[in-house]
Amino acid sequence: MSRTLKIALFVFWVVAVTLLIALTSVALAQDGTPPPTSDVKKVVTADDVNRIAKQMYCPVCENEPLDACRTAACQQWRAQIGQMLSEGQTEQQIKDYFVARYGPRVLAQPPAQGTSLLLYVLPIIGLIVGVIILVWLLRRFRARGAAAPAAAPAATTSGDEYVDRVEQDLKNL
Amino acid sequence: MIVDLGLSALVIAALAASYAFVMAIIGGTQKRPAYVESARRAAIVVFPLLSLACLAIIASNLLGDYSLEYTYRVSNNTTPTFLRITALWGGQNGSILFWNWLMSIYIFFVFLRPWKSNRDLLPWVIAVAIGTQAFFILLTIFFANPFARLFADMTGNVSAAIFQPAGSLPFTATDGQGLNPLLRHPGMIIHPPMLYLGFVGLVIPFAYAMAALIAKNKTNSWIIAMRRPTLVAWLFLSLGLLLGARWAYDVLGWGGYWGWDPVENSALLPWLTTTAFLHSVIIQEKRGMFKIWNMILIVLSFCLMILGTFVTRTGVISSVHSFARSSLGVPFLGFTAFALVGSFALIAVRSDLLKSENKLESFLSREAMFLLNNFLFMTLTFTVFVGTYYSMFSELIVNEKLTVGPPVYNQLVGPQVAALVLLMGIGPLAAWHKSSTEALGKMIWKPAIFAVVVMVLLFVTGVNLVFVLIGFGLVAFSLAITLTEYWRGMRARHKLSGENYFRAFTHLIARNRRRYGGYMIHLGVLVMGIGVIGSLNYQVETQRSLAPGGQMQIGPYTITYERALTCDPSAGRMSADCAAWYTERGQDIAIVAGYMTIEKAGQAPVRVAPYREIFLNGTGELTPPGVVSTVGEDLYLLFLGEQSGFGTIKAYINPLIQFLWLGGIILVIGTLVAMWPTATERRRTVSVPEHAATGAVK
Repeated sequence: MSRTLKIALFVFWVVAVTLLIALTSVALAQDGTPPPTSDVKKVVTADDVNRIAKQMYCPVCENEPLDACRTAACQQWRAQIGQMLSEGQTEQQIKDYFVARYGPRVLAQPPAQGTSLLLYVLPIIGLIVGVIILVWLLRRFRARGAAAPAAAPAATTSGDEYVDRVEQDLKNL
Repeated sequence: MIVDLGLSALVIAALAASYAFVMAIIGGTQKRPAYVESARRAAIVVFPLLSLACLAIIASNLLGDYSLEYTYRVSNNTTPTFLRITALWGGQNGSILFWNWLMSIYIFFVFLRPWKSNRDLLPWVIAVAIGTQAFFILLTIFFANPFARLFADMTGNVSAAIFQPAGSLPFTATDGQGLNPLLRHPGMIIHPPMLYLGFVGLVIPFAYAMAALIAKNKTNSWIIAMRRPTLVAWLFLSLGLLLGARWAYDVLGWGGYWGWDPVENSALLPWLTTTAFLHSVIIQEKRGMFKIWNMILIVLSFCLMILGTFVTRTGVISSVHSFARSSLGVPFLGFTAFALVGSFALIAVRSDLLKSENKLESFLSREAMFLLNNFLFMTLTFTVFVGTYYSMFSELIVNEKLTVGPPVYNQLVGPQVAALVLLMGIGPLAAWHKSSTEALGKMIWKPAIFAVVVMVLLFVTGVNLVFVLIGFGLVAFSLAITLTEYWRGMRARHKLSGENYFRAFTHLIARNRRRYGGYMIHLGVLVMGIGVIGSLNYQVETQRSLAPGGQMQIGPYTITYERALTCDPSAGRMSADCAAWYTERGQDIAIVAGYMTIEKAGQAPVRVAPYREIFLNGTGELTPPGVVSTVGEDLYLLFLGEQSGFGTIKAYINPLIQFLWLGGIILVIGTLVAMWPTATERRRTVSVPEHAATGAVK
């Protein structure tokens, strides 16, 4: 029984960790694949424009994506995106055009290069430093734990461990 | 006259706070209880004095005294009474006074207690708390004084000053500029006070922590004494964030509730560190571990709070250059730096007090789980911090502005939150000291199977995004465990005491408010998680321009556009229909409303009228949606305007969004349960349970 449980638990952890890693990579891969764009579009709908505008910010509208901003300047930008789409330009071409003119700040997601590379690298560095500190802490705690073993190990050996724990915790509260 | 009274009250408040600060320090260093007592009383007095100052501003707004610059800016002749009161925090200077007043409420209640225990801490708690208060009152007086009056010089230039400049005459405007229309919506009126209440409350744990260090207090009594004020602050922070999200959803009109913008983030950051602290402090109470870490969390929360106030009050984030324009910048940053460096130095000097009393016995223990929890909260804080301030630094250093938009955060934050949700399930199951894999496995396998079943069912019904499946799976897993925790506790009580299940349930919660309140907060977060995953990944939107009578389709809904209504008082376009739109709004806005009917098979048609509210002074607009809510989703309609007979309608379907608000309510109730004092706690003043101080758990 206990062996099966151990294996089950182990499998559970492996699956959980794998899934988490998959989640990260899937989420990261998502932005790499641009939404499919058909060839030359004759009719450009507002939805086509919004799809691109959603990923952009116009400088007059701080903190509000281009598709939601109602200022005249942003309306003009949206009109221009519609115009460019009807000329058959791709999403990437349109974004590049605006970046060339107004700088990388027009993109909701700065490209992972140049000055904005650090934006992506820093959290990862933070994560690594965090893990190092965590491991160091755990090892230190463990090392001292080994030097001076705990006085009284938790005595929970009765039939229903949970009931014991509830009662024990309730006492402590 | 009223203004003079208010200004005097503010100045006296500054004097009282400074006096309390000095007396507390002298009393503390020279061990003179009488001085400390005097300091305590002076600290209490600050609250009524600041109340008087706030009332003076309100009175001036109500009377329409436009000789006062602040009233001139935030009120006008058509401003309704209610808004004249809330205009107290409608402008920068008033809001900083208001912020001070809220802080004085906490200080008032904390020092009103007789302080029978923890007497050694008292002078230092006073010194730190009232020192902070004194600093910010002085800041108000010298840099953001709401009591400045208007004066006109010889050439007719009007300026604001406290004292009459030479060669000028008092000036009274005939009408004011009026409150920023953005601040007239109930959500915007109520959510800043909530957020501020959360912000300023963080001064209390900070004061206690610093006091414990200064007074070399080794016990945990201060941790117990400050637990409730910290929870109160956390509750208001949470409420502020939730109401802010709801406000954005209700009036900003972009279909969402959280845009990861710097102002939101700067309120989220102290929430994250305080949440981490509320978890790890349990270990310090129970096992005497993580003491340095807890200190660091308190200091970080406090500093992030000051930084957040600074960011939201000065607009420094949108442009570094606004820093130079705001006179508040240097003092704010200076204070933050001083608090940060000072408290870390203090922690370093007193590190011998903060030695861990116990060892970590196992990686599979409650302690280790809490450590992991803190680790994740810290990486989250760091991620959000980098995202929020990166643009500022890149502008400052390489003069290149960047936008860090929601996609960046979703990618970076998503996995970390997913890991936290997993931990939320497993953590509470791990026993103190150490758990056996076997025991844990026994409690985990059923919820794990439940989660897998949920994921399979979702997959079968057409959910095919991998991370959505994982997200829902994790939420299901932790939800099952949390609910099982209630059930097991209930059953244990039922078995042991023979109570019926309902009584067992209520007693379980009543006897262990902290634990089961905490689980309720977890439940709230998980329910919110359902709403976030659903609305984030399955939002549908479409936009059409329709002639009257034209129809558009979104999901199962058919929208029929009827007509537009344009009201513009400045251009004299006020038809009979317009009257209904101008009840409590003031006359300085234009309304463009679109009437439409929503039909869904098998349901009665619903009529809604989303509109644009355009501020005639050119400061912007609001776009309140028309919403048709069902349990499963919101149909969220915006009217973007009318051009040559065509009305433009933008429609969103926000799936599962109701769960977000429901989860928020559960979270608030859980917090109230966790902080509600028990009958015994109410009777006695705080005393120290022995086992908590020694860390020995029987």
